[in-house]
Amino acid sequence: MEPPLDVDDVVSRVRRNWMKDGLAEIMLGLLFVLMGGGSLAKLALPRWLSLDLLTSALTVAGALGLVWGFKKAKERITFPRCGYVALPQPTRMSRAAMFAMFAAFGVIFTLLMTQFNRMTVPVSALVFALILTAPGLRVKGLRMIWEGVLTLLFGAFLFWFTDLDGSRGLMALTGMIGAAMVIIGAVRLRNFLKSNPLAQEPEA
Amino acid sequence: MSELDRIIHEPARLTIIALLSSVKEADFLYLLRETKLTKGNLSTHLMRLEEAGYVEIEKSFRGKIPLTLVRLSSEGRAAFLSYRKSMKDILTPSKAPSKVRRIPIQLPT
Repeated sequence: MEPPLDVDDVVSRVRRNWMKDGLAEIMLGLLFVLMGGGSLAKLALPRWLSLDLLTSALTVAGALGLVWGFKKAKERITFPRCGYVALPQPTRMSRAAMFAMFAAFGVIFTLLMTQFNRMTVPVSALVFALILTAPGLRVKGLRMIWEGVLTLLFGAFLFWFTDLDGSRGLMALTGMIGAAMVIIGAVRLRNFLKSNPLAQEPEA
Repeated sequence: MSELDRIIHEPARLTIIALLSSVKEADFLYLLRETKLTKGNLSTHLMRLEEAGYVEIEKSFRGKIPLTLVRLSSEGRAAFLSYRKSMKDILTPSKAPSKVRRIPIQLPT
């Protein structure tokens, strides 16, 4: 007996299509730029100002603002064209796993910048590439895998062709990844808007 | 062989159920675009699934535009999981040990 359709493909298609409008890339890219910008502000400001806490708070506020903006953009751009869909809320287990993962990344980055300054850029590039590639492999999203490869290339470029290391290297890396993702996202969004004109009759 | 759920086994309904299994809820337009069915066909299949208790349909308005939200019920989720298991059992070759008897033979020297 033949299966009537590939159920796994249908399930992963939902996740793939969630990102086809490029908004996720734009948001993630802006988040990376924000992270780089936050670090730059910390480095640029005079030490006696001691605005570390303020810049961190502004970065967090910016990140929350981006998430809010992403939701609003989905409501205004994607849902009227392709229909409304809500992904399931992450379970308590997956939230805990994500928190543990971010805590581990925090430890790795701190360790790199304090102990292994020269290795900050390549290891960070590897970590960011894994963050991008792992979900790409899960939902068979080729674009995310390419973005992971691009991240590795940025890391390799900064490591071999510049003398940026430590926090400056990390800042440059996040800035480059962020800018690239915003550009990729913007192109995707333009194509999405072209191929999905606003539906005239949204309901049956 | 375990019995397959005929309501889910139909390809269009299976697509709808599979889509709904991976989301919290979706509206009619989303399902229409993803399944590539006609409006009438999709309505009929959704009605059939609702009658079976597999989906919950909520009709409301967003401004002046009618909005039909569809989500998988707990019965629908259980039925879908059971269907997938049955399908896997059918398609996976049995791992039971072969009952072919091995007879040692002696080749002439």
